[in-house]
Amino acid sequence: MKILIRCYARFRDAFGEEQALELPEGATILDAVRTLAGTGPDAELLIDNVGNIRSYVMIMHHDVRVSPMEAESVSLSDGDMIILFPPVSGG
Amino acid sequence: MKRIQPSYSSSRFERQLPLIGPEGQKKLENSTILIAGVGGLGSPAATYLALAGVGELIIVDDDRIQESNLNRQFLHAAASVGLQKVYSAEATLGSLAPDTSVVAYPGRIDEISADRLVADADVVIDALDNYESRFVLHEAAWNAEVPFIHGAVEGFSGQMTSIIPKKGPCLSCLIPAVPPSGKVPVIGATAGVIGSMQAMEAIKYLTGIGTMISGRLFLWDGQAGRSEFLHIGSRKNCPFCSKGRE
Repeated sequence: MKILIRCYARFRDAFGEEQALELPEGATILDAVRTLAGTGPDAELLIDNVGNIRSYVMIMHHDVRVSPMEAESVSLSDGDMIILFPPVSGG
Repeated sequence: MKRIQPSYSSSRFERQLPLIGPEGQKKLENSTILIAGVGGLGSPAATYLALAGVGELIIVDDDRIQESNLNRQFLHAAASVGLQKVYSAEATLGSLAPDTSVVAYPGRIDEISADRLVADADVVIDALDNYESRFVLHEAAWNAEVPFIHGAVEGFSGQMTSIIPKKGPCLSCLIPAVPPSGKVPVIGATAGVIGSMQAMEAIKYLTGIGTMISGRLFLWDGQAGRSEFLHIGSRKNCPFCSKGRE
């Protein structure tokens, strides 16, 4: 199945504005974020050293926030979109 | 609530009176707004609120003006580098909107100052640049039941929401964790957009006109020309606001 990930702020700078990912049926949000992060130098922005999504990553799926801890339990469907956003802090 | 005696001519607000009415204008004139931070966000927020005829602004910032501030912090002139920001802002606002009373506090937001500053305010504008001070000020505003209008920017991106205490999610519900942050790059216009939206939220709240951006976080990517609303309810186990909730 194909899903779309849209990134904001520094995630956008690292991973691009929108990425289409090809994932196996039954893939979860955690799978999608790990796939997006890949193994490049910016992976640590999204994923910690044991493969979990970092606590500050704000994830939106179907207009609803999904906490990083719940990402493994939310299965995706073909055509789904996920939005990833890091809270920004500057004033 | 601050009562002032307006000395402006009758035409000063004629372009906004059809929108908010004389009652709305009176509400603005009788209001006090705390603006925490007079940098990138505080410049547009304070300017538009003063120009709209808000009676009193309490402005807080402990920084001095640096050359690198000047790409976005238009309350401060190039010749003012080295001065305390609050005094420069006070002078600029005084020249733009002489009937708005400006109270300048050149100190830091901490547990003691936050309660005192919030006590006099009808609305708090969060134009700060770090989450440590934000959460301290947010707690004071929440406890005093004063709306807290949050904004933050980085690069071409920004976020904004209005926290209405005890009637919706708190800042901890919306933003449970924050990434490590140092000095962030920012385009001045990014701060202009988000700071102006914060001023708009304050005007809407004080006049009772429109729908607040509350219970949802506005996300904006100026580079892509894209925005989203992240709909967020109160967190069931929010360590800050869940106490006392059913």
